[in-house]
Amino acid sequence: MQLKSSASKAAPLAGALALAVSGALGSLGAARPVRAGGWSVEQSTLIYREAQRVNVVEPVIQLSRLLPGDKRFGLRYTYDSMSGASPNGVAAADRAQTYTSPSGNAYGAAAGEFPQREFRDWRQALALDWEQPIAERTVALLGASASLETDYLSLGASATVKRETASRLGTWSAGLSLSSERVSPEGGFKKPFSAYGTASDDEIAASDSKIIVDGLVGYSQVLNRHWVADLNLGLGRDAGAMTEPYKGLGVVDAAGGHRGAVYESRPDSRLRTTVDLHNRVHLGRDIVHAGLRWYGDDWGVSALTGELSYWFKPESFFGLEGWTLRPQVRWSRQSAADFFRIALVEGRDIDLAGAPLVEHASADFRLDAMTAWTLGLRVEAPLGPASRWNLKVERYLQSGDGSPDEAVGAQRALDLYPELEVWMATVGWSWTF
Amino acid sequence: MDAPALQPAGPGWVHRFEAFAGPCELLVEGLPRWAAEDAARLVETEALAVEARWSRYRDDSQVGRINAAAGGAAVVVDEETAAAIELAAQAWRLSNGLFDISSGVLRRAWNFAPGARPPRPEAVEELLPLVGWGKVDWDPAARRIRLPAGMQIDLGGLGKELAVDRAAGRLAAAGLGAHALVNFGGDLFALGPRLDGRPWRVGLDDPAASGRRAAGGLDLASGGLATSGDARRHVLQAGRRLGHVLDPRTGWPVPGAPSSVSVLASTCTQAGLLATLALLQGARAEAWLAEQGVAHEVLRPDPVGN
Repeated sequence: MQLKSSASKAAPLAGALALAVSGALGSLGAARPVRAGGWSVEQSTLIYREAQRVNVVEPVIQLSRLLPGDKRFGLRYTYDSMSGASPNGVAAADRAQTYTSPSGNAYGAAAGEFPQREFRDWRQALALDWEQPIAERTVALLGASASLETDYLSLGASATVKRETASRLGTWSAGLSLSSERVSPEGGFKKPFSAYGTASDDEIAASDSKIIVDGLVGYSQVLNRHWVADLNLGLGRDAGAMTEPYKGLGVVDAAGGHRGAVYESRPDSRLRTTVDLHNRVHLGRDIVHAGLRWYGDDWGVSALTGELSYWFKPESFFGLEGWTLRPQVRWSRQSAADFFRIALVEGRDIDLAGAPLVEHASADFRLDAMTAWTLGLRVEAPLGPASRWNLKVERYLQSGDGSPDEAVGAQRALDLYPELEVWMATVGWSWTF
Repeated sequence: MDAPALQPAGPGWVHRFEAFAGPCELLVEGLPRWAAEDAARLVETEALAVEARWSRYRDDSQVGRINAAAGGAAVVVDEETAAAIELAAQAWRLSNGLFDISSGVLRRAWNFAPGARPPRPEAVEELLPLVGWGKVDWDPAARRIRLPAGMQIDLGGLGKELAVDRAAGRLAAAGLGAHALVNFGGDLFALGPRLDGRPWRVGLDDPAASGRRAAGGLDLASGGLATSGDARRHVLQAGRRLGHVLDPRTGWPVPGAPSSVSVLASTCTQAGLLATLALLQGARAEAWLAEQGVAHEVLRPDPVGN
């Protein structure tokens, strides 16, 4: 039996009744129906700014569609435009430093400052995902991704299976992802511990690659009507070209005096473990998210991150119906990698002829011990019946020990940790049709 | 209220309960049991609250108090009741008196039981002075209503449809209605499609064989659906079937009325008002619905009349 629908010539009564009904339903209103099988589009733009250093503009567009049979299709495209100056890895020294970039440009840093290399790059990334039920209470998610930069190509694939328990209060998930990255740095890969940033560097390979494998097992449980907890365990292994092709580290004499710089060297594999506990607590209208994450790897890096966010729906207070305000704080503390060095010390880490006495070394401050705070606020509000906008502003502050015990001689007079401050703003909108 | 008794239904849950003298249900998908229980509690609470507020069989209900005070002092009603009465008043005006919540008194003259005979014309004449919203003293601003002696109002049909919309509104506000269908005795509102994106399949009762089998079904992904009419009630006159739908202006059945009209609209309440008014158009029901430009289904009785 089909409903007959006819084009309206004049429908004064239907329209007037609709108006009268909406009056009778009052502030409660009629529920806004959700349309079947529609598309949803999300667009957002991230603006990332490190003080005095890097600027990134990253627009993202994401499309998804729910299909008959509980299937869902998603596509995400990202374009990054990056410019600015990036630390070359060498720490501040007691005298001025000068280097030549692989493209032949000279740059340097005054005494006590961290040398930074100008750069400009772009990145494009495409990710596809597909979700579909494969058995009762069981869903499979498949993903494929590609990312391209001028000197970098990454291809990846992932598969995850999620299964709800019979009570539907618990969900198991297990996933595996694999990606292959190929790096073709300008000027090629250089011999570890060879002289850094000179016009005639020793190239050992034009490009190199690495394989990244990650496994994840998780369980999510509705503990009661207010509390949902997720526990995820991850194990990952990276193998291949782990050394950063553009990073150097300084060499100092026993008195801490700057002698030059050499290319860094990292192990060619890394085994990573993560344990992530996340809680969502519904307090009637508002929601609190609280998470704790532990990370450890066989490079000696371990990190603990705590995160707290409050999803505040202010409608009854200020008439902001449909708005969500989400203040957020994240704290993270990390230990240094075993092979992290502020600089190589002659006679201890490298001999006077330039032969390394250590197997690996890097001065990349991302491998140093540090503490980071992120404070953020996200606002989301309706823009129309099927559209919403959002704005997120975050401030990230990373600090470390500027006077580490390993500093020798003249280094002790320097601030050896480049404090990092980043502002991030994301503006976005979503639309369903 | 204790935890509502939910039953699994496909990738979701169904909660069944009795209200408005009939079966009611909530179908939800994509929610864990505890959230579906919250949804069920919201919907059942809303249904029972509306029923208690507007039941004409309860002396303590708003409608019971209004009817009991007919011919006496004015009654001040609560805000929800005032909104429903004002909607009825506007529907009465817009329909030139065809939709009338005071028409229930006519049932005293008419007996629609199987085999019943039509009343004497005088019996209907006697009741007509007690019917007609125009005789009611209604002040919407002050929420004051006063019925002349002997008159009564009935928010039954309208109340059920308003309850469907209100329950759906509560589900949406609680974020529980992405995939939900509220069904109070055949008056429905779908807040969204099923979890897999397909519409809900709604079975329609065949009025000629009511309760025995579904006449068919229709797909509802979102919006309201209401049905007016009941073919079990009719009166035979000289072997000819008289309609069961009484015109409040004449007190007699509307000639040529369909046995049932189903209408789809953006709210269940609007669908219900349009369905009732279409029924009152009699033989013109289909043409009138076409003029309104709403999706509809009209069923007509077997011409032999049974």
